[in-house]
Amino acid sequence: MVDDDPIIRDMMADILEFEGYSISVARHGQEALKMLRSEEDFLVFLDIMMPGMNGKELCDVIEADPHLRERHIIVLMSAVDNLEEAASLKIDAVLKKPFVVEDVINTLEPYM
Amino acid sequence: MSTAIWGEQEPHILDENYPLSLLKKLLQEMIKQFGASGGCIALYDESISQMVIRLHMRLRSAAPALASSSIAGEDASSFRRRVTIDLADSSSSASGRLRRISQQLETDPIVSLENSSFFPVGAAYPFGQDLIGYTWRKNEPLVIRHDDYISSFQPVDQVPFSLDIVPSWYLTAPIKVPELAFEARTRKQHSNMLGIVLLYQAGSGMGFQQKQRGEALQFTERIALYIQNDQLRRLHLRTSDYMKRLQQISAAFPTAVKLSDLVEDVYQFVTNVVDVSSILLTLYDRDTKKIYDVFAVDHGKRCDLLLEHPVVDLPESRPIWWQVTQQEKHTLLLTLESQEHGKYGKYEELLKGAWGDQSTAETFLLLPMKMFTRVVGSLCLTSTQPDAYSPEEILVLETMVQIITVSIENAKLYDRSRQALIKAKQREESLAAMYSALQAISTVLNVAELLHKFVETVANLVQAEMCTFFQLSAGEQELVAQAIYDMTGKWNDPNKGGSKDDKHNDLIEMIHLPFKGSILERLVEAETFFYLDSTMVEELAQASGEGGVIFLRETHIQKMLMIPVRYQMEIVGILAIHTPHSNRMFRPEELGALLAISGQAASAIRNAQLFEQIQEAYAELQRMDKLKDEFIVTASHELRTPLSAISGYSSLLKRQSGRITPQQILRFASKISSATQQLSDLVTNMTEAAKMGALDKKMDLQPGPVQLLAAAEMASTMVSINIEQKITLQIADEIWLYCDPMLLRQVMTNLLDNAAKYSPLDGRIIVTGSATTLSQLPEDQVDYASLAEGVDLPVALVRVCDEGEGIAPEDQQKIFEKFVRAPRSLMTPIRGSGLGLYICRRYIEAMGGRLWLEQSIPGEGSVFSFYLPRIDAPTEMSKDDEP
Repeated sequence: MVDDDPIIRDMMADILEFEGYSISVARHGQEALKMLRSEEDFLVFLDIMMPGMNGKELCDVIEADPHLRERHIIVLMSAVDNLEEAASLKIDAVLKKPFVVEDVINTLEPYM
Repeated sequence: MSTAIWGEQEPHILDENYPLSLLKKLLQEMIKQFGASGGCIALYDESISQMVIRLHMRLRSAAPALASSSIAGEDASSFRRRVTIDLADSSSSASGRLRRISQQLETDPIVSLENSSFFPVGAAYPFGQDLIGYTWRKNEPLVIRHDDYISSFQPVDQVPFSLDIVPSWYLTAPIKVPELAFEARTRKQHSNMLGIVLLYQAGSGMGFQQKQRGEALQFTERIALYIQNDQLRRLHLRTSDYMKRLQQISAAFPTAVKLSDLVEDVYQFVTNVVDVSSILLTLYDRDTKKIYDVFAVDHGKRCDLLLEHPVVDLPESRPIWWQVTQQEKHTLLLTLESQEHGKYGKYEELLKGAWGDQSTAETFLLLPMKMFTRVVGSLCLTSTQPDAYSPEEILVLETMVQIITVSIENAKLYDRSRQALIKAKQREESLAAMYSALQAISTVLNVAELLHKFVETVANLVQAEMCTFFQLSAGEQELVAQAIYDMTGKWNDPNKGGSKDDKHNDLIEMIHLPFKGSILERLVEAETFFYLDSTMVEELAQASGEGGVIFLRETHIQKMLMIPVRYQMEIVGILAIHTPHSNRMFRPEELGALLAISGQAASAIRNAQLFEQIQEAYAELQRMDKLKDEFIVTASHELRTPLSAISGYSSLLKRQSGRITPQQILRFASKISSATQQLSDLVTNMTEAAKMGALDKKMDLQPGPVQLLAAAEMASTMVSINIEQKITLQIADEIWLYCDPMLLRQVMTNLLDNAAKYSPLDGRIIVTGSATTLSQLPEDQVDYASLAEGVDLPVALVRVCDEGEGIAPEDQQKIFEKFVRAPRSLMTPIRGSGLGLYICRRYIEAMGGRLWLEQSIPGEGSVFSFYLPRIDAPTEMSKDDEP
């Protein structure tokens, strides 16, 4: 789970742990990349707007890396964010803010 | 009134003043009727005041053969013409008698004698002399024997009596002016005697009877009537001749008077009508107030040169002429010789001048040239004859003068209206030029372009080489050139080429002239326009900066016209017009045009300025609109985070309600309430900003003593929950402020939030607080108004320093505006509504302080500072006072 906002980050951790998933969190793109390379994560939640390496850049790096490109990516976005920009990314799904727990489960389940 | 109609027109003989052929017939008839051998008629000659024999006739039988042959009886042949005499007094029996007598003619023809040995034609007799003079004196008919005649009179012209005929009796009768005849000749005559008739008998005839005297008198009455009729006819002929000439003169000048033609006409007319030896034609011009002698004849010699070079005089130098023409305004007739010299001595002035010395003249006539009540000149005539001018002749001359006066005045009027027409046309043209000039400047809405057009138009309008427009600087200290037009092209370069133009405009704007306190300020205040002469220019140059000096000295100003351009009462600028090295003063109509165009330009400039302001305001509005759009995007994004937290945690609580622990419930609930607080703060911020935007509404303050350190700690705690960076407070605990604690907390929170947003996660944020006074603060941040009151207020200075990326110089002012955040792409978001600094500054100012960006170095960090009024610590220190 990659997000610069600690509130969203902590909440995602709480939600997913209750559902029985194991989750690790990163504050920005670089941190996430480091974790992706050291752990065998299956799926990435990432916020598109982040300081430092943003979500788009992170997607591009994941796509370019042969070891990482098989990972599923779900992007967190606000309704006002540029969806066209999101569509150009190699991602699997979009989770729109604000959301309820069921939204998270529904988005996640097809890839489990 | 009597009219004589003669059978045929006689040839008009100018030389003779009497009807010779008619007299011949009358004399013939009289000789027959009285059975005389011959006779003669003497007529009064005015010029010598004597009776002169004009006609001598005799029976052919009594005439000497030599003399008679040449003058045969053709005289008699035509006598049978009908003669009608119609007199007002019809009692005369002359006509009947005449008819009767005519039937006895032709037995012994009567012929004229040119060379009679006694009483010859041409002999003259003064009053009382000889038989003729005697009859004249006696004023009655006379019958006298030849012997008595010889003894009583001493005949002058017939001594000795070696006659071709010896008369025995004489009969004489006076020809008197008929009393009832029409008084055609009003002139006083020396005598009422027209002439004398003398008849004589030769040989031993029965002689003349005394009773025949009465008959003779009747006959001479008829002769008198005939003569009088003839004189009337001549007068009539003459009058029609005058009328013809007058008509010619009045027809000669319908629109224009050529002075030479006029003079010629006057000359011809005058010499034809009366006897003149000298003429002087003088004109007075009201416009120049001068007298001009334009034509003169000096004793028969014409001075035509005067036409080209008239003698010019002032009225003062001819007081008599002035008095006669301008005050008396009447024809002046002087008979100089017959009067004592002293009486007309005062008129001496009139008798000299351009027409030579006229003091020897007998008669002087001055005819004023009257036009209504004005006198525009005079015509003076002199004659060497006494009483040379008869009243009717003077009347004719007056009429002639009147006609030429009207002609001259008409011509002048015509000339004036033509000039007025030309002037009107010129005016029309300049108005058209001005109209197009005005159009040129009123259609431009760009201020710089308008000013260039304005100076160019003005320079062309009045043909000045240079025209400059100055504007007052802010504070009205100086005049700054805005546009220059220079015909020589050295200074101006209006609107040509992009980058070059900017440079050019920069150069022009370096021309500064001193205004406040200089002569310019005084003159601009007092005058609609004024001139700067070289002395004033030098004075200005002394007080000018480099640009002004170059302009003033290098454009070689001798005289520069300055026109303050006013819109209503406000000075929009000053127009300066001059031509290098020239001393030109502008004509009134040029000034009028310049003032008019300046007035128009003033409103055009003002309009253009307003238009530009509106455009700027519009651009600003557009910018604000864009910012607002961005704000909405950002704000909704910001709102999503706390909303996501609330909806996420509440749905989690619901979903996991069966397995969740009380500790977890507490944690999730506090996450929800924290997100709610964040949401509520955001909404409050936005409402505050919107409120402040509305007409700077006074904020609802609730000020009180606040301990700075306590407020800072509170804010720091709140911010720290959400940020990674470390906040350090360096504030002495004895610093107390007087302000609204809620607002202060919001400001501090905002500043800390900002500092955190723009700083790296491991960056440090330091807040310092120090007690100082207003005068110790950086100059540009001091509120001078409060300092000016002489009180140095105690204040507390708070500085928030971060180690962030810093703010670009071009953004350093903007960041305090509504909705503005340091620019970032949406991909690298900075949380915050963009209202923070705007709200902070407004809050601090509302509480009597200032907030500013103290420094900002890219890559090193920024320092935001503010101060607020400081107070002494309250004596009762209590924790309740904390915000």
